Amino acid sequence: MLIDVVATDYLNWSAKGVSGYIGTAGGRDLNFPMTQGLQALPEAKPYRFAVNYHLLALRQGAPRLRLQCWLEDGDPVDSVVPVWPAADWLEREQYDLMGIRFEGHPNLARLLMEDDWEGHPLRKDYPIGGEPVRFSPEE
Amino acid sequence: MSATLQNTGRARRWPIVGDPPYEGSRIPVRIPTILDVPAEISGADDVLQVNFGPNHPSTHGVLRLIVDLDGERVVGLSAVIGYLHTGFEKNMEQKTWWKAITYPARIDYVGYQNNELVFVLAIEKLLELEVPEKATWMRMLLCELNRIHSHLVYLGTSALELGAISMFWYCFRERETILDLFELVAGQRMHTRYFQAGGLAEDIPAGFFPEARKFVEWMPHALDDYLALLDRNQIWLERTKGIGLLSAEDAIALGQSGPVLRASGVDWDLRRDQGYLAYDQVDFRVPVYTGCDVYDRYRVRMDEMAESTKIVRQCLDRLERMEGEPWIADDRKVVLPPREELHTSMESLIHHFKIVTEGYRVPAGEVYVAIESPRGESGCYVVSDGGPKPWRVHFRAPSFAALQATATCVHDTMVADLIAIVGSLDAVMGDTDR
Repeated sequence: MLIDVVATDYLNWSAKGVSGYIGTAGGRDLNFPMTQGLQALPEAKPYRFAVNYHLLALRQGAPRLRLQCWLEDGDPVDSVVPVWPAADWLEREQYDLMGIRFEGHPNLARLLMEDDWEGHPLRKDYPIGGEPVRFSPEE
Repeated sequence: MSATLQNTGRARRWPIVGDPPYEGSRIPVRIPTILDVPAEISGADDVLQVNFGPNHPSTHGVLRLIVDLDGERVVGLSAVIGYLHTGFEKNMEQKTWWKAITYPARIDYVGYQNNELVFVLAIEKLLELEVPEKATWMRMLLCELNRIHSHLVYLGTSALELGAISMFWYCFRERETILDLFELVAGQRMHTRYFQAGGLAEDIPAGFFPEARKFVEWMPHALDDYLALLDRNQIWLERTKGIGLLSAEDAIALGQSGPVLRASGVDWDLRRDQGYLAYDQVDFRVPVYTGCDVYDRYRVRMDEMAESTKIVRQCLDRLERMEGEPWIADDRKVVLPPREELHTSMESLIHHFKIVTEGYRVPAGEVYVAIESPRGESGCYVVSDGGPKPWRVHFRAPSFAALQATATCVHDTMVADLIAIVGSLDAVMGDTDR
């Protein structure tokens, strides 16, 4: 069964070094003096967007599968609604928040944001806190 | 119902049990989540379009249903969501991993402890962090208490909507006890933020075990009370039996999970079939019913409360013997140092300062972690670029999936049943809209 559809925006992924304090796996201390400041960049991604389909088989051990579909801004991806009806809202949500166009979706409208909303909030280039707020009618 | 026995098509095998309540599929053909008015009556004067919500007491928050009525019969339905969209996922990208833990509990504000767990488990999976046994058992205990809490809210409000007002008071009486237990442990009644990457935020306080014991001794009696009030109540039975049918095949196609799935005859529970925390070490039963209706969703949740009480008791048995054991991993790069060390150790002070200001870094990678929340499969997909803030956080919300089934469930029902059906899907709007 289709569990989830989620898109990720990798704009500027690994473009700059990640700063911050080094937390490590399993409690190993990687804060050796010689590696200070040398922080590995994450592996580059082939395209800007990834659409992930999380699938689950109702079998012993609950095997799961993640299908990744890579695309550039504006590229459409085929809708999976004819295969899994559950994809209806899942794809609409990703269209709404990430701006992925699902070709063949029967009703590709915004789902969570208002119908006349501009832009796709979960994109990395979407401004944060840019919503103008009016404090008085004169403004 | 048994008339459809011969039309199973292919052999039904585990996890699907029982016979389907109707032949074929009832998922609307054009758009799976919108029930269109049949062509022969579309546009007729008798067909009236009514808005339920977004501000309507029986919609459990801000769900809006656009309903087409032909007399009292529901002939068309479309659910509109998004009124409680607050951009949790975007917000969490701006916070360090450490601070983002406060958010998940507020997404599903009724199953808060389970949501907190799934995010913390995702961080721990990326960090490959080992969690002490005591923390695992305490997490299990609190998640099961939270499951009972969530089902009590479901039971109280759904019964209230069908006119059984006294149920609401009884359920909220027990819910109050559970919230008191949470307050005792974490200082907060809801949204506790008691789970920390690596374990628990603090040790289990003295006095918790006797209070929790009192609760598990009392809860079976409370459940008997509920059963006495509802299970032989003719009005309740007639309002719920055979209403809101959803076959196992349709439920799977629509991505249902949790009690909705189990009431449709799918023997599936992630606690047993996938396994996380220490659920393989406790003894519990997974209730499955095959009626596929509102009544069986109620029965699944009633049985689950009894089972959860059993799990809580087993957790207590274990935890009472773990006095003095560590409750959080000893990884100073991720876990805050003990408070008292800050006065004596420079190292600890630096660690504390660094974790609180910059946050710990989590190795690059992506994971999807799923748990059985009170509403079904609650999943968390996170992407890390190796920095102190998550690159992407996404929650697979069981309520979101449940509401997609509304159009299928209202097939040939009356408007009054619509309330019972929406209640039985037990959607939390915070979870749906995120």
